[in-house]
Amino acid sequence: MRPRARPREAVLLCLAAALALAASSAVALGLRGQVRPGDLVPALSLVVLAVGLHAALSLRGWQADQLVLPIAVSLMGLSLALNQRLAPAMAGRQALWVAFGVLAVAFAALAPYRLMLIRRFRYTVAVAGMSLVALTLVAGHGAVPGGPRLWLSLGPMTFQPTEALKLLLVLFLAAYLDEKRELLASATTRLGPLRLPPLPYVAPLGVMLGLSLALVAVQGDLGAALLLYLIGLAMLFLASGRGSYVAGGLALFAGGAWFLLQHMAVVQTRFAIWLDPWSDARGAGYQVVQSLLALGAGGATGTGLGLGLPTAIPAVHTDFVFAAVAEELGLAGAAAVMALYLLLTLRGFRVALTARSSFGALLASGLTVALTVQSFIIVAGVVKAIPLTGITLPFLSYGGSSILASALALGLLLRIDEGAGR
Amino acid sequence: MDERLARDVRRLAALSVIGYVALVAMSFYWGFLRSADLAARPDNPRRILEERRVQRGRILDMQGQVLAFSEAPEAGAGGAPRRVYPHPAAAPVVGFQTWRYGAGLDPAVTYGTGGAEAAYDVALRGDLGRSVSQQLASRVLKRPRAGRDVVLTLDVDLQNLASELLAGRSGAVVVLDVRSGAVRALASQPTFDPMTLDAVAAGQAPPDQIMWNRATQGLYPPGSTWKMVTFAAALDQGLVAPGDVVDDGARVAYFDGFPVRCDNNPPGTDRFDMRHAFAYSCNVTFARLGEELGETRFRRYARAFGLGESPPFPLPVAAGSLTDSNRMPLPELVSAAFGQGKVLVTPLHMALVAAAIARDGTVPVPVLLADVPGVRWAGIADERGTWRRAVTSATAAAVREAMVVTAEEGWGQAARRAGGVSMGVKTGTAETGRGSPHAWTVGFAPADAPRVAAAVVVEAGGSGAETAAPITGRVLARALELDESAGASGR
Repeated sequence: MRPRARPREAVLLCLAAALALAASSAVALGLRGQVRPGDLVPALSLVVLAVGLHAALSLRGWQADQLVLPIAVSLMGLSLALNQRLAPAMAGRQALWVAFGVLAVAFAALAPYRLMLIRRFRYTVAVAGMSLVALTLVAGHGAVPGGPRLWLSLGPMTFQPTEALKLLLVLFLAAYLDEKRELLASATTRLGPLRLPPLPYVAPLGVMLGLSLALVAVQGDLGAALLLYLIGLAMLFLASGRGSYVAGGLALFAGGAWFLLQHMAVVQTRFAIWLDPWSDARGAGYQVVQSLLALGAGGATGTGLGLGLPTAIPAVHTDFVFAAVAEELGLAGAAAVMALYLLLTLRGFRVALTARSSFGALLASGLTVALTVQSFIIVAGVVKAIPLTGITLPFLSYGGSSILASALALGLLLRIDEGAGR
Repeated sequence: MDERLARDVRRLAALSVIGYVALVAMSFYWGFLRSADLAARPDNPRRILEERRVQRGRILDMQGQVLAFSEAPEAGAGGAPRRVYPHPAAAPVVGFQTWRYGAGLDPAVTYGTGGAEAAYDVALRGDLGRSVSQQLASRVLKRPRAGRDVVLTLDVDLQNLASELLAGRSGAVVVLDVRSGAVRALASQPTFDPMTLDAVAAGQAPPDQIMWNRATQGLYPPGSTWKMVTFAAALDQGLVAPGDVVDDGARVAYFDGFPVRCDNNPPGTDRFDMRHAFAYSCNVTFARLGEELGETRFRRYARAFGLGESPPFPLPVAAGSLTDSNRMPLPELVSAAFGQGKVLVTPLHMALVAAAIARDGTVPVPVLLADVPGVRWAGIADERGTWRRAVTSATAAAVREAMVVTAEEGWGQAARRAGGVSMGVKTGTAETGRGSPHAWTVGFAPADAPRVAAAVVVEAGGSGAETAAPITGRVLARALELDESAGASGR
């Protein structure tokens, strides 16, 4: 518990603070031509809280990764500026969520609990996850009438249960797969010429697949379903080391996708828009076309914050925030943001590689996979590399549930790296 | 941690690197390789944003009255400067500049620019007279660009009067300065109000072809006003002299069995000279002139007066045509000689014919741009001058004389009475084959040394002498007044 300096984190946090303040100032200048003190309050609050967390980690003598916190603060600082730019009415709430986000990192990292508790209460975690899904199926409501029913209300608060479900799934799978990994890696069930994983042990994968499909069928939340499925597949692969499971999982996925393509109108629409958004540029393809127009307008260095027209894209502050980055900060800004995510991913996997316990390794990989796959799905949808599925970009999009879930994942990564999982 | 797990984690990390690199590559694809064609898409709202950065110049009339200006946007970014048009009657000339897109409106409603707003866009948006480096600097620095004012030759008082005289009818009025070809009025009714295009687009007002500029694009049979051309051609060719006496006692003649009647003459007058034949607008006389001229020469003179060609003008002008056949049958040729048959002209064309007769037989280039203060622009000089020679100066003088007789003694007396100044005119009542005929009157004033010329058409207006002549008289008189006051003030 002897205090130790975290010099790299200190320097990088200074850079992140500079980025956050510069971005908010640029937005104010771009929109109104002047910077008022109030414009910088959100960014300053973020910086103060981040410095506080840095101090707390240093005082406790933590040696955990010094890069992930500055990366997250950079992204959240940019998020504050982008929300001031794209959805000024919601910028205040986003500032609050970002502040809570830093506290959530602190909580997950520093709260007095042992990671092994998660392992012990794995079935509680599973039940919590399934209850959440059940609750959403019964009481969920859409942000707009007729839209996907992704939201749960808790008094005046609403939150997206899939964000919590994502974390619970990673926690449960890490615990469950760690327990069964020897068996998963060796034993097989023979079904004619096929060699399948031992049936009792792939049950969680089946449950997870079922949940995903239930979410798709009832809520129309394609993005979350895809995310959950890929998280599960990646973690099963890590636990078993068997490429054949991945192949089987992907084949199952292809079959499921084909089935949905035949039977669900929303899937058909998304697929058709992906193939050709231009033919219905003013109707179904409007959002994607507007996003591509924004991408095309950025050039190398962008129009400058506040000086482009990303607001022409519906839901730009949530699902399409990357298109706004590409337009106003250009390819340079977009590549920089991608580099931040890649760096976060690589640090996350490094945490997994150096974890003392296999549980810690699986948990760290799972959390990293969750952040990575989520970022990839939405950005790939925005640049039309894959069909679009609505999902938030971690740390950058507007949304409290998204920020909190990503922050908790980050805090857990720090904690695993500090060796609490031993 | 075992080696196998470490290896697989590294595999996932490598996959992540590939994935993110692919996303950056896709961003490059859209941001660079497809950037140009995305920017050119008509539904790209960024084009409008670009327009909003321009502090667009004003459009002024020759007296300095404002025809269009931009109001500063209301507080808050994103607001567009509002383009204000104080004189809706000037819309056919001034046009509109209203970029609208999306946001509550049907995205299909995308207005652009039209009229002078489009023609002089390069000056109004300030690109004129600025070096490439200046343009680049202000684009990079996102400086609001200051546009330049544009002064038109139009006289908005005259334009308003012309529109008022047409009010409630469909038609057009064109008034030209004879000496310079300057367009003093170019009215088209009904027209649109550039301030309320939204209401029009939303279907709250019946369009009734309001966006269609009848003065420059309306093609009408010219009726008897075309006798100016036939007469001028015959005089020019020496086929007839102004003093030649014709006898129209029969009042009907047949051309390949096609009957042409002369029932316009005052009762009891069968013998008169050519000037009065013109003034009384006797169809038989001009049908004979057409036959004598023959198709080749008739075509040549029509072309010499500009028919079949669009004059150089900033607004699109329909070319008009004498006929749609390679060889005109005799009935069509003689009909064309008195402005029927298949002859189609625009009111602007007829005003140019009147101007050519009113000056030395040369057709002026119609001019709309008077000045762009602060810039020497080749465009200003280029538009001035003579478009083409139609007939000799002597021929023009002879036709002028006949037109003065028309205003004094013939079918154009209503114009003379309404205007109260000496003038020369030619009326026309153009049959269309269905419904009421179009009413025409074309003229110039004053009678000696003309300074202004005008053409007026009233769709389905009936008799030209009754409907169009008083309008022509009024606008010619008013144009002379304004010309004198402008001359007195040193313009």
